[in-house]
Amino acid sequence: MEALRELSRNHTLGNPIRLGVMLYLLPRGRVLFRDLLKVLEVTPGNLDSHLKALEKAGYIEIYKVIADRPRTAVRITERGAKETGEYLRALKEALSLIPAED
Amino acid sequence: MEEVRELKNVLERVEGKLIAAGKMYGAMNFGVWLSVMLLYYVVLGIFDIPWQFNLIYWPAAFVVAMSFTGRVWERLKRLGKAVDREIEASKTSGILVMASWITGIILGWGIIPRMGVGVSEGAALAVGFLSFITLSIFGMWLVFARYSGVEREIIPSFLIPAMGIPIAWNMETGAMVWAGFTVALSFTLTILWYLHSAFKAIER
Repeated sequence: MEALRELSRNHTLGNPIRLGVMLYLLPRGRVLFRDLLKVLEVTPGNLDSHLKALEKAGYIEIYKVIADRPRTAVRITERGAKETGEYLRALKEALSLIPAED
Repeated sequence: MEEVRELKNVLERVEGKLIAAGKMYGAMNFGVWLSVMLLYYVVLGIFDIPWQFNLIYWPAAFVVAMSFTGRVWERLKRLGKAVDREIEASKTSGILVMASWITGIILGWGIIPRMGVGVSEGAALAVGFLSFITLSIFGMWLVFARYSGVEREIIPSFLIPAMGIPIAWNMETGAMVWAGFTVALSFTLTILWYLHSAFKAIER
């Protein structure tokens, strides 16, 4: 039940694109906006709105870097890593409650 | 039911990849320390250096390599949160890791070579070097075991240098070359073990 409560509590990560962003960021720490676009196969406007939602929740920080030209980059926060981990565990636990079909 | 099974598989794969990333960071970390040691050997091979050089080189190398290790540590902390293996990155654990390296430097490079151990001057230096690696990494491993779980992959990096000490002790010539080989072998085995664990985590 705790797992289900956690899943229903976290509306931010309930979206697959936002969860995808967090999972891509977890091992890397930081990533360029254009790389996320390629990996997640979404439009820039769509990705931008999801990143803003994650930033508002305090899971990521959006900032500018100078690469070949000024680029938008995203980095994961401590809170973002913690919440994503908890969400994954809750999801796993919730799935284990469903009996396997023989 | 098919969707549930698929979601379970996806979650397992995600978890496996996160664990693998942690193992690869561990391998990279030892790769940096291996480079630091190889540079030391190049300097040792080219120049005729006094033993006091060690007191400058190793602390300086420690600062440089630690900046990389620090970044790796931050990423490991983050990954630990996601795979339910949270690293307790307290001030105490950081101080203890630092203390194990400082103890290793003082004993391995300061005290042991001047105690007249080994059958030659080279042997004394080699015994000191191997003691430094053994003590420092063993201490660090103990801290990791206490605060974030046992990392089996690190074991060769302190066990093999420890096993090399009796041989280095009795070498009249080439003891430092032997010590270098021992440490390089041990670090390489640790890196290979980390990579093996990473592949296993991905394939599970």
